[in-house]
Amino acid sequence: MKPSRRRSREVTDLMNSLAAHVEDLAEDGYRRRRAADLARITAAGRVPSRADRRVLPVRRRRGPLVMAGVATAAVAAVAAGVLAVPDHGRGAPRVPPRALDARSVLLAGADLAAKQPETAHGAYWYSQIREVERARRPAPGRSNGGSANGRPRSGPYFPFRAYASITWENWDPYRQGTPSRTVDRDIQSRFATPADKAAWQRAGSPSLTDMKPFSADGHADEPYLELGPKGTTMAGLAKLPTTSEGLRKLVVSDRNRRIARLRSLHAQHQELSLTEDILNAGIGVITSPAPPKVRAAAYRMLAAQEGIRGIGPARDGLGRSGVALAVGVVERTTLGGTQRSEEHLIVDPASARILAREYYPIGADGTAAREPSHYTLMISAGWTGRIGVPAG
Amino acid sequence: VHDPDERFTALYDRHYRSVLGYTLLRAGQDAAEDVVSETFLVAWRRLDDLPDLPLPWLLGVARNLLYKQYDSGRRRQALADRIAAATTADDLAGPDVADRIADRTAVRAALDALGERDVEVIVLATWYDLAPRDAARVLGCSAATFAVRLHRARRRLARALAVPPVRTSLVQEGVR
Repeated sequence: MKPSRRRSREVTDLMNSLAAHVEDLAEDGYRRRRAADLARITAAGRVPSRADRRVLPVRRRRGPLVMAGVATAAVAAVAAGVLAVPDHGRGAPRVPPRALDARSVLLAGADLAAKQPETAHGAYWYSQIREVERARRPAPGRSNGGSANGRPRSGPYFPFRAYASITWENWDPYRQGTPSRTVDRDIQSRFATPADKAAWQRAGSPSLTDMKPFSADGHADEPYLELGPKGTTMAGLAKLPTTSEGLRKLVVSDRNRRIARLRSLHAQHQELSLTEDILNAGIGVITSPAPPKVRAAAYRMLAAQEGIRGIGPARDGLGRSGVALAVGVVERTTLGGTQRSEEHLIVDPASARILAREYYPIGADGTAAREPSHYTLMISAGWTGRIGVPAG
Repeated sequence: VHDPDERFTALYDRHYRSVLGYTLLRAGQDAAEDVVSETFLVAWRRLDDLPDLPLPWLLGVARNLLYKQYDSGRRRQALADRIAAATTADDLAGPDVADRIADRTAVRAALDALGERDVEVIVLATWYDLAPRDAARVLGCSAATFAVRLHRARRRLARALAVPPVRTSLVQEGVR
């Protein structure tokens, strides 16, 4: 037998003997510790301690579409009031704008980003994000685990239009190995119109969200962005390509590696479209503390994409004005079925910031709804010196 | 079962060994047992908040406690000790002893070179039978990131051994 074959068998053997060895030690510990542990622990107060949050498992959520991964608990946090739903040009008379050129908006963003001053990094990159999603029923047969690490609802939408939102704050350390922090707060439910609220009441006022506030410190020690063969750390952002082509190559090679790997294991693996990969990488870089030239390259990479369409002036869910671009069609499968949605970005041409990412469900007739089913608001971001302190 | 004491005891009996097994890869026996006690104390305080599948959550708490209390040097040493203890020579018998000893030495060196993070993802994917999404929850990353890290760990291991990547039934890669 070739040494290589033998060695690979040896790895399996060694992992198995390691498992057997550790199982013995664990069994031993279980027998010795059980009585004293149970007595000591159950004698303690069953009250969550604030100090626990330093060790609770943390969820990573930076990009949008991560609504999957949000806390679950039976909380009916229903605020009265009516939600400001993103409004694409409806404030003004809906004059179809002269085909707004998406490419020139993005290229202008690139030029502006390139001119922005390079700022010195702080200890933590702070970002505040709000996720807003149309309220869903709990999935059939799913108990609400009530866990901070629980699953989001995946049932069908309620027939009335209500939205649940949560605000996330993240502190990502510049230095690898320093703890990160995530805070989930400000869980709200709102109705699109008073008529929707009345319909909800007629339906017996069901709870609209299972999310609840949560915070935890993480020790994940992993790259800030999944970009490049080893990922990109905060410090590594400065070494990313400064050309559109260079960045695109990185995305494509990451993608090819991932596809080859997952295909070999998962015949029916559903792959994101290349457009979506480029979009995710582009948005990841643009909303990161990468140097101006790298952010500019990300804008140019988006501008080079086929199929991006300008929609016109728009306001995001916070009422901030920008320009809406339709950037692609995404598919999301839940228990409620597969839904195709048109994805919009709201870009602020004055600051070259991405304000929001929105998803408009596409109906059976192929047209997108006028209101999004889900959107992400990038509220603020910046460097801060201390964990727990937002960027000024 | 609604009585908290009974629920907690069932949780402890079901998962204690798994959590301690994981912890033993990063700390000595006494220290590992203390970490697991503390993990279950946190679980007791948060009993009503536990997910339906509590093991990843418990492993995640234990991992954070280890990172908080033990520096990487001590965690590494613990792993090296376990690997050394698990590779006793007494089962080495038969015709190609010399080859096996050479291979075993190479494998130990490869695992040592791999580092605790890589060993951790391999262990999570293989010993605990966790779906990528649940394994990812232990590490506080996404399922896709976990798949990437697992792939990289396997590739580094293969490179260290200069053999093609090991494919075993334990492989559970992919995004659910």
